[in-house]
Amino acid sequence: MPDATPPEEIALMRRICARDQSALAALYDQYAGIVYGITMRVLQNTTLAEEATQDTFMKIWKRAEDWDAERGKLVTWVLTIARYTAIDRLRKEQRQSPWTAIGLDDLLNALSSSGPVDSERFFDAQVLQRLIRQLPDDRIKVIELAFFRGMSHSEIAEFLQEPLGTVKSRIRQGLFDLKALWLQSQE
Amino acid sequence: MMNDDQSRQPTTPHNAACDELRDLLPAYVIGATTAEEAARVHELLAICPELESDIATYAGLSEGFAADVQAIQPAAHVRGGLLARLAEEEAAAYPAQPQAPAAPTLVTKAIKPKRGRRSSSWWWIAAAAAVVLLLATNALWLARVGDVQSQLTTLQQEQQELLTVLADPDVARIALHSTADQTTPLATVLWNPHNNEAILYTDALPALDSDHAYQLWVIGAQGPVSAGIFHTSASGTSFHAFAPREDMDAYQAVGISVEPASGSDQPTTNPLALGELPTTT
Repeated sequence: MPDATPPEEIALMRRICARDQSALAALYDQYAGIVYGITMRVLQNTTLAEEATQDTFMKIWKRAEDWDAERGKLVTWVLTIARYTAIDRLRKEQRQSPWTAIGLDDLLNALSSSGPVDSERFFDAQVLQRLIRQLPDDRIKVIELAFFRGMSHSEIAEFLQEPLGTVKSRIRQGLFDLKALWLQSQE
Repeated sequence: MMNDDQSRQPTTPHNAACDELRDLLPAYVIGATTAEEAARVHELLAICPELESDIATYAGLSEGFAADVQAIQPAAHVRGGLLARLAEEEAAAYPAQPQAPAAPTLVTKAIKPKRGRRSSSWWWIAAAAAVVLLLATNALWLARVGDVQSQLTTLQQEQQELLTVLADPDVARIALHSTADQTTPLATVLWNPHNNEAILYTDALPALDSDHAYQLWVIGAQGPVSAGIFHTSASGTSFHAFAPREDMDAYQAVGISVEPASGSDQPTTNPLALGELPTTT
């Protein structure tokens, strides 16, 4: 199992829970690069990505007590908030309907709920990257459009000019396959 | 390749619902379902609660797509803007209380022990009175604290914006001395009475193990109130910004104690450093 969150980051989160503003500055120094990387990937606009980066850390400040070190890695929690925040901003900028299919609370709860295998709460990002590369390109593409652009099935179908059923099938089968590959890698 | 079809059971209403849920969950987790489909997921989860764990699995797996995102350092103003926004929101959430009438001197201010905290609060009451004695030894330290701001600027470049806020001629400089000998300077607090923002700077506190943290307290008539926990570097330095909830006149002293890493509601150990706040009369 990959290492869980380092003790010094757990200590930082405790300080944030105690409303120590210097701790949020320290967490920013640690995570600003990947948070901004995610928000830029989603928004593809410097100004919007900068604002989404600040919004992400303000959410972290306000929700720090929700994170449980024993139920998930801090980096996953932070990146989930960053991606959700950026997609929410993107849809507002595009005057699209809010990204209501799954709320941030649901998403964070999902990440921290018990998986069937203990190690699944601590997926190794490098292993996952390697496994994702084994998926067919058309499945990766539809998943990424949902994951990074907040597109629904039908929006992806329209964007790619593909039948809706095909898009649904690729998303479903892509994640089924990723799960199967992951389980194989753990044997 | 294997897929979840292998886990499908003979058709019953329950199994059919679970199969439908298995089909929807991957898209649900990455946000590709419509609001109607998401509502259906919630309905089906009530029928097939055993599949709730699949949500965590797919959520964790899908985060792998974020793993190859290139880290990009944002411009410096993003950090400054964040910290300014944080300070502003915190100040709005915890506004300073109306200024209480100031007592003429520290020694005339009664410090009441907090109910139910007798075991450790007696020390803090005595300590608040003892800080008067520190006045006699402050001359040397007062000569040094004039340089504190420039030292901070050098050592803590990232705190430039906060220092700018505190660079006010009326900023109070409070020296915290060791309670062991009442002479060794251990820390300095710079407190701006106009915006009620303050910073603590230390250069002589040893780093603690991961199970413990230093905790700063502001001590007023109601006893010590936490002003946050902080850690020091290997060289003993630390920079801790805090925003006291009440004006400076509401307090008589500041102190530092060693507490569990997550901090304490009230001090659980004797203070290792104390400093008296100046009176405004």
